[in-house]
Amino acid sequence: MALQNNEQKVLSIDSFIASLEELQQLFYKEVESIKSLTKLDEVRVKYLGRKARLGNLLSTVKDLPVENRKDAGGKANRLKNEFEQSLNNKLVEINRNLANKEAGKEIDVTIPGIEPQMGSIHPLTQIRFKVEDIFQRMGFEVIEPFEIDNDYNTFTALNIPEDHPARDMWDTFWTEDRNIPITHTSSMQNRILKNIKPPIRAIVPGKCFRNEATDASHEHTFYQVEGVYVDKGITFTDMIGTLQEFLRNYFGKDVEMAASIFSDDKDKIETRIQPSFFPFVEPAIEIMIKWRVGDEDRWLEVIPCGPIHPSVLKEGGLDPEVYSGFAWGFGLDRLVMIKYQLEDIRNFHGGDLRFLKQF
Amino acid sequence: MKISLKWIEQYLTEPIKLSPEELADRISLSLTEVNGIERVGANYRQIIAGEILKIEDHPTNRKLHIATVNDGVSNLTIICGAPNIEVGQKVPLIKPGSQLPDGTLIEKKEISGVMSEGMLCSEKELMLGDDHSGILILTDEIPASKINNGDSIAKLLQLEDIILEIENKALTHRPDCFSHIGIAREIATITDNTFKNEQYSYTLIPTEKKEIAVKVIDEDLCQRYSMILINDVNIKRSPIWLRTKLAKVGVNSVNNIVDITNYVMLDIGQPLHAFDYDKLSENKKIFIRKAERTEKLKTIDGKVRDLDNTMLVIADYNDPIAVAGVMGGLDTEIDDNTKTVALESANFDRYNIRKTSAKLGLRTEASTRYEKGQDPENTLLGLEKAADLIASTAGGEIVSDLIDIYPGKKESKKITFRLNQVNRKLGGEIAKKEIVYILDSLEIKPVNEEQVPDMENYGSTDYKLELEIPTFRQDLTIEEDILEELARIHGFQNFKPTLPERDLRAPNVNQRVLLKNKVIKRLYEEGLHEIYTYAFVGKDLYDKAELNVDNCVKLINPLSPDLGYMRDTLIPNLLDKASLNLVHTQHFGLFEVSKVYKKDKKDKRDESLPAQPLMISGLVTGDEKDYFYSAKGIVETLLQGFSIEVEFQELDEKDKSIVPYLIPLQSAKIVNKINKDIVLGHIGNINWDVRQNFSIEKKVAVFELNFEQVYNLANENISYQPLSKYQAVNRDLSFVIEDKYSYRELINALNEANAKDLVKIAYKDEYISDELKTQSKKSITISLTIQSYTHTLTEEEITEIVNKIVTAASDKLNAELRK
Repeated sequence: MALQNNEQKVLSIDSFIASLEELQQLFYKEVESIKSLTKLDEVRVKYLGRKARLGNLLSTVKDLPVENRKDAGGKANRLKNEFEQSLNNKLVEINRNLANKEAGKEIDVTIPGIEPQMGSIHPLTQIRFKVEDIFQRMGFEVIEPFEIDNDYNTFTALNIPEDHPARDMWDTFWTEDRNIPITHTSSMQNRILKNIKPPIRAIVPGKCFRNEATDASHEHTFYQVEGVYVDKGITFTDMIGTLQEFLRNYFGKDVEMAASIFSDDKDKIETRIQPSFFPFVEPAIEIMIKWRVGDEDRWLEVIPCGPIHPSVLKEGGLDPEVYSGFAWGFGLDRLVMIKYQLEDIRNFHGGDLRFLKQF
Repeated sequence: MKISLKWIEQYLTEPIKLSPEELADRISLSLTEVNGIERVGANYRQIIAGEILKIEDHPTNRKLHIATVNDGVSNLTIICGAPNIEVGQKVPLIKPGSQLPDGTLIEKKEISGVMSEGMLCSEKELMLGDDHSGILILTDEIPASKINNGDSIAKLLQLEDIILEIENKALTHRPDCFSHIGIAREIATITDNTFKNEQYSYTLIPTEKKEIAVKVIDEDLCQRYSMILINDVNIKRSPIWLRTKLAKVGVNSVNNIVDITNYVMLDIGQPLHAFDYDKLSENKKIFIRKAERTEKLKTIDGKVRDLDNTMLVIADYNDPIAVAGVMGGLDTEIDDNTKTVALESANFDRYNIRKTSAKLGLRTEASTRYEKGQDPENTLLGLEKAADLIASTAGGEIVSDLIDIYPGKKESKKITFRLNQVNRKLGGEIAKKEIVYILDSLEIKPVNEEQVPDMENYGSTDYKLELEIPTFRQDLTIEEDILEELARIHGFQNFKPTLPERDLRAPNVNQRVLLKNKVIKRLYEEGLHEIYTYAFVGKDLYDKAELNVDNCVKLINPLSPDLGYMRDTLIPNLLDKASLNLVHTQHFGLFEVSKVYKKDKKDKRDESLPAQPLMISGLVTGDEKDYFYSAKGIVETLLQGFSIEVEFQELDEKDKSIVPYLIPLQSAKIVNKINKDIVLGHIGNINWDVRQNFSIEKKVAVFELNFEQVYNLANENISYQPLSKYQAVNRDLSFVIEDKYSYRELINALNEANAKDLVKIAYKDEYISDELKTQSKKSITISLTIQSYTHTLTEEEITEIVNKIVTAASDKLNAELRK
């Protein structure tokens, strides 16, 4: 730098110290007036920067008489530390002032928050997750059905021979190549019996199809969860207990299966069992729950089930004298509708975001 | 099905004590759901029987009479215009202050100067029929000895009743319950009443013999055929008791013969059919045979039915005269002039009846009963009951021997029942006394009466009962059926629930389902909304998306033409729902994870079925912006989550035919980076025409991924990179290249520089100034991340790396740095 190179004269220690003191006074005067971070930075550069006055002074130490150099250098460095300390204190002070000012600003906490871009999961999927979770915890594995299956798996293997009047219970679609868009997820039962070595515990959540006109409570496309349990010594009462355990988990309340219909305990889901008919179980029953609909309690059918018919076990390669079991196939749509008190099943396939975002 | 409790009570020793609601509840718990309870006839209580003591002419009106009528207490003066009243008759009388069934209030009224103290009623006024020609004469319907003056006609004509509407569905396997006798047996059992089966004996002895011959040709399809001829019948309206009995259970009256056949069917379940004997071909021979392929029959509903050689018919010497067990022919139908009736009571093969009825699209009360499996032992009882009723209501005499051909007679069925199965299979106990009661009440009898278990033997492991199954219970075939009978009567909910015991083995986790569920959660996290749409599609929807619906699996019995096929892509439905939502929502993304169906491809897991791959499809739409990159970002993030590396390639001709709805220049095929033959799916912007077809004004980008490929490629092999301790440096570079080069080509070129310590190249933006445009060039800005694992890079090292990269771009693509 030009200045350094040109100044060859010898400085006196007194004038050096005088310069320091003068600088010190100027500095403190200026520090006192600092109000902003920008100003603080300016002052910092002005006094402590490489080309600042203190720096310049330090660079003149070498021009002092030899015996004064150490003393002068020490003084200058102490002053530098002092400046730094002072500026840092000022920085804290300014920041605190800013923080206080910030904290003094009142915001309207009742204005809605900024909505993050979130999607939604269809209520039927959410409930499928829940049902899968409950049964997995109970030791069941999850199996997917074929959505188009053949006559054998849909009916014949389930003790429903061709031309059996029980076939009328299912309004069946047929494809051109005589396959069936499955009418129930029981279509997987025969494969499960054949392919899994007992003990068998499996559920089959899947999409099903029935050839019936659509209205608020009927859909040609709906969702079922089939369940199969086969082992040695499985009884009818095991079935009731297992499904009761499911309902308890699903509705989050205790389920009183065999108790009086007229129980007073409000925390319990009351259930009732009625006979039904499905050729692949023997006997067929329907588990119903008492549920508040509008302002009246109603009995709603929730789980049709029954011990697996010996013919179905045999068709699946299992000896009914050794093994026994039970199966069910409930409607997922129905469980969702009951839970959320939905009145129109058509909303599930309506694809209307205003409906779907509510779940 | 409607059931009359008055009718039921004919078969019970005690009247039903439970309230209708309690009874309905018991039936629901042990037999089948009761859908409704209807109380009928209460509005007839105030109408009573009055006896006509005297009839005088009205003083001023020649058309009117003044009748003196006794109501059991006193004599009333009634003005009446009917021509058919006579002294001694008992007639329906309604006194002042009472109401007609339609609610009309009757009051004392002066008629042509004479005060009338009530009114005598016609059938029509009583809403019991159409006849308004005269007063209903009770003594014509019921023997006078049974009518006390003042008795309510609600009681006399059994008009007051409780009708239960019961659900048929749970009775599909219970042929016996399609009759009052069957339901009565059940009600007796579940209410501790006793079933009383009348010992019916009406002997069918002919007074003379007319010519008739029956031959069963297809014996495998006709278990039994019984017939008699009844001569000199008087076809007319049925008596009131019969008409009202039928009306209460929802059956319209036709004439006495038809009504009687219906009555017997509702009573005992046995369908009957009456032919007009004189309309049979001359030699009076009847054949039960399969139809010829070319034969036709006009059934009594007036429709001409095309028959085929699987259908069983009743035929005379020339032509079919009935579709066996389904419906009779019009040409041999009973009419007002019928003199001789050939009455059929038969039992046909249930499966054949059902098949025929399905083929003809003709379900009747008879076919519904036959296809459940009626009791062949019932045919004679049916004939006897009907003949008895015909004799009493239509006159006539039996003029043939009883024809009874019974090729299908079977030994009575036996089931061995092990008592320990109650506990083994049901898991609970039923007291021995109850078991004995239930079986006995349902007429399931031990073959050997002494076998009835005693206390000591009940429950012992080897105690067996040999049970004889009544013929009307064709549904009982195996031991489990006996258990069901015991359990349902005992009450299913009277068993204490148990839980099965199992070991601690963790269930298998289905990896496919796990991944499917992860995909759904991921797309939701990426801001898309899951929708469900129908698997059924139609030509209209596919046309809108410029797709050909003929490539889809076709249904032979769709609900409607627009649901006639099963989709092979989810995109048209997504577009449809996008259009619907754009009406009220500005900017959104949708997705669906669902199976599609491939007509010409076999499923790998079951080759007999069409392939049913699961697809992941999404859609993004909204304002102005080009949504392609939003969709692409979603796909990239989704796939990165499963460590799948993909490349986006230009569409080839085949792709264009798969996704005709996309703009080819703004679309890509998504392939696996390692094996480029593996196509995961497509992504792109929807073309203008398709958007127009779906009434979508906004831009739309869609993607469709094959889940099966995602599942095959997905892995959780995360290769962890330790973090460098040294500072990373970023340098942005803008390259000017010819616009024929893609971003990927630029990146490939940069990568070929093999620059050490270059850890990342990120895309920043693309810029085309007017000047660049005229030179067919574009500028792409990228951001380099440079970082060493061994030391802090010096300025010189960084410059060297950047230079290397710039040189590579220049060498490969003739790229220049933008100034």
